[in-house]
Amino acid sequence: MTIQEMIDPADYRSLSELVYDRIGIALGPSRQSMVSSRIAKRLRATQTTTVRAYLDLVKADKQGEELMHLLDAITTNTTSFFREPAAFAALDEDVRARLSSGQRQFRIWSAAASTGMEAYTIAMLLAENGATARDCAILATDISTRALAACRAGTYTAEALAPVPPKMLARWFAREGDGMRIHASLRALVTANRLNLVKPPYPMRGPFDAIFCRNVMIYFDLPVRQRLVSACLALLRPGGLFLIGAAESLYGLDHPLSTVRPSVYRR
Amino acid sequence: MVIRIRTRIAVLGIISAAVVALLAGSVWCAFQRITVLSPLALEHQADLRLVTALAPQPALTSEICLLAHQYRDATPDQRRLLQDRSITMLAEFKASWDRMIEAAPNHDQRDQRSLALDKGGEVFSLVAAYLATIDAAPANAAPVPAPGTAPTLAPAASALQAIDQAVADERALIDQVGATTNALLTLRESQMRSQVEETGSSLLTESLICIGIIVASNWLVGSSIVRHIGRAAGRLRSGTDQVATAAVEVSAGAQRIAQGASEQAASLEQTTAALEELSSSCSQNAANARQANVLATEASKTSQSGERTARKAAADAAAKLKELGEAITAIRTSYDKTTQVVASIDDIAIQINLLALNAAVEAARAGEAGLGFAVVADEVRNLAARSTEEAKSTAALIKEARANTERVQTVSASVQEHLVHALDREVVGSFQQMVGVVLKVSRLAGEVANASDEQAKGIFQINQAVAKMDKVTQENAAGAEEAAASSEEMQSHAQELTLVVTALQALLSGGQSALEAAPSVLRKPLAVSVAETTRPNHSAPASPSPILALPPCQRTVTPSRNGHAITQAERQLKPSQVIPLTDEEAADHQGDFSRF
Repeated sequence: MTIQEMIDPADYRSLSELVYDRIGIALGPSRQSMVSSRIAKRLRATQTTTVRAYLDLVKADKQGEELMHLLDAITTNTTSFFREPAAFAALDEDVRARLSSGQRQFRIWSAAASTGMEAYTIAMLLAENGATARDCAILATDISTRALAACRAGTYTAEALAPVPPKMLARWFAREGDGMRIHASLRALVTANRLNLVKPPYPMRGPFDAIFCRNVMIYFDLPVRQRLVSACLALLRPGGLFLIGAAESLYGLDHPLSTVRPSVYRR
Repeated sequence: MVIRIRTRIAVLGIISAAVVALLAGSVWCAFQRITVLSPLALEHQADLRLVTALAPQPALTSEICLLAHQYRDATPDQRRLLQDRSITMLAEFKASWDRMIEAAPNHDQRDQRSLALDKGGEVFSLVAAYLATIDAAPANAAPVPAPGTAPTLAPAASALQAIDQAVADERALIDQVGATTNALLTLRESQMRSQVEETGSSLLTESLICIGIIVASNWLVGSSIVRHIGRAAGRLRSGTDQVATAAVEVSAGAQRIAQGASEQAASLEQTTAALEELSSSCSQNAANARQANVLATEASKTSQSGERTARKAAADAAAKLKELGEAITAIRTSYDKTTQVVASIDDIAIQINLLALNAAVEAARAGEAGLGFAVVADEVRNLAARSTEEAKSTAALIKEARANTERVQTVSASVQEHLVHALDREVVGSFQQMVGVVLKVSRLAGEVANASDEQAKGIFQINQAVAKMDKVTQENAAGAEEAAASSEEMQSHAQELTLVVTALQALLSGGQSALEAAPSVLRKPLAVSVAETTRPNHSAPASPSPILALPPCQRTVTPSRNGHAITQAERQLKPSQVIPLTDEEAADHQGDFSRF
């Protein structure tokens, strides 16, 4: 018996509702096999046999540990170094301009950081421009504690590091175990915190010079997107960059941004 | 309502035509004001100047006539002045006529003016001749003839008459020239007026033609633009349609890949679980095999000690059997001796019987005295007989016993033989065989244990590979999920694009605005709403736009409040009502945000 067959439609409904309420991800019927495969591990880990029983367990766990595991399992963590390079080219340009205008402090937020590849790409970019001599901090947030743990560790496989230019790889990474670990000075720039993007207000004061909010809105419906974008933009400095995924757009949303290039906006 | 582009272009044409008309009007007005510079006007001005030039001739003619009349009564000084004046006047007269002749517009007028000049010249000649006559005549010789005197007058008077006549002629000629010039001026004026009017009306006509051309060209250009845009829009439409179709395909493909990857991940998950079980059972096998090995080794040891014990026991048994054999031999010997004894006893019994018989015979012979003896003898004879019998049965028994002993000996020997044999071959062999078997078992168990270990290692490696595969598959699945989500997004963009193109086409062909008629697909929740998938009693989905051929409505849109679509789920049911959430669970944001 496959796991899919084990999910009772009513249980799947409860699960979808829970996930939508907690992290705003809408799980349609087409996602059933994905959900099945992703929660199978949790079922095995918790020695439960049915989704109903598992949900009961989630409900019974007052510490919220299992809920966190469930949300970890449901979220999709796809990221890579220098993903959609045009965005980083735009940031690079912006950082240079700000440096030459004498800006002393840089705050950049990677809103859906996953395993931190985006945050460390930003960190490398700041370091390469000599911005790290000034007050720099990168906030990496994600809903998945598992992904954030990987972000804090900063160790990546050779495959994951393939997009990093060899010079940067040599400068900022050191072999450790099976993989390569990012330099401690860059790790120190990145603060990895759990943040639920669909539950504003956020605990930051802002303002940020740039906000990377890429490939996360695709999982949300329009009201959630609007909430998310408004909350993010409230934390963005005037003239700051707002970057979204290549497949995303701000169409249908109220925002005061002007387009710099596709997927790159300026407040 | 959207105004068609054609209409807009027509409006543009009308506006530009109006502007042209306005411009033409003002040009006409300006033309009215600047006609003085036209060639005709210039000619007119020249004619007017001529008229001005004609002004001195009548005066000069009158003055010379007057001068002739005054001359006779003048003092000599006055005469000199009048003479000079007459010369100046002549020059002036000639110059003025020359200008006029030169400016004559045609031969007739030139001739007319030449005639007037000639006549004028004649007047001046007459005057000059008269003046000379007066100068030659003595003073008072020629009094002024009384008016109304007879025609026979003095020559001076007749000369004056001739002058008056000539002056009158000249005046008539000048009047003629003036009349001609005036007629010309009048003609020019009327010509000018008609020309201005003609110009004005032609300007109006031309303006109207211009307006027509503008409207027509606007219309044509507009039409061609509309046609071109229409063609482009058509191509755009087919392009966006294709993109939309492709996006749907890509989306479906990505979904399938995502689903496949997920299923693969699920299978791998199961494989991992199975492998873990296999691994544990393999470990159990190894442990059991190792236990078997230990036990077999022990068994081998026991067997070996058993062999030794068996050997010892066999040796003991053999020794005992030998002893037994010896004992049996001794028994046989004693049996033989006993047989001899029994034989002796038998002999003795026979002899006793004989003796008893003899005794009986003797007793019988002795009669009464021997009667008791006879009894005794008989008794002895009976005893002897019994002894013989007993001896015989004893002999038989001994024989039997001996036979038995012999058999025992044989058996013992065979037992000994067998024992030795068995000891050598069977017991020891068995034990050795057993030991061999046990050793084999032990070795096999060891091999099983090793193999199980190897197997466990192999399974561990498989497990690792599967774990990696699982990781990769999970990543693939995640990537595919993201691709699916992205392509879904792309699909909505394509739909949006189709909508825009539809609106453009509607704009070109007139009618209702597609944008107004069909609300944006992006204005509704993009991802499949929870409501749709989870709502147990969901109502019929909102009917899709008539213009946009949306795929069978996968998405439910509900009326928005403050521009936010509200999903049915949000309205109907909060998951926190299904699963109550504690404060700890509500901790959405965790960590130190103090730097940000």
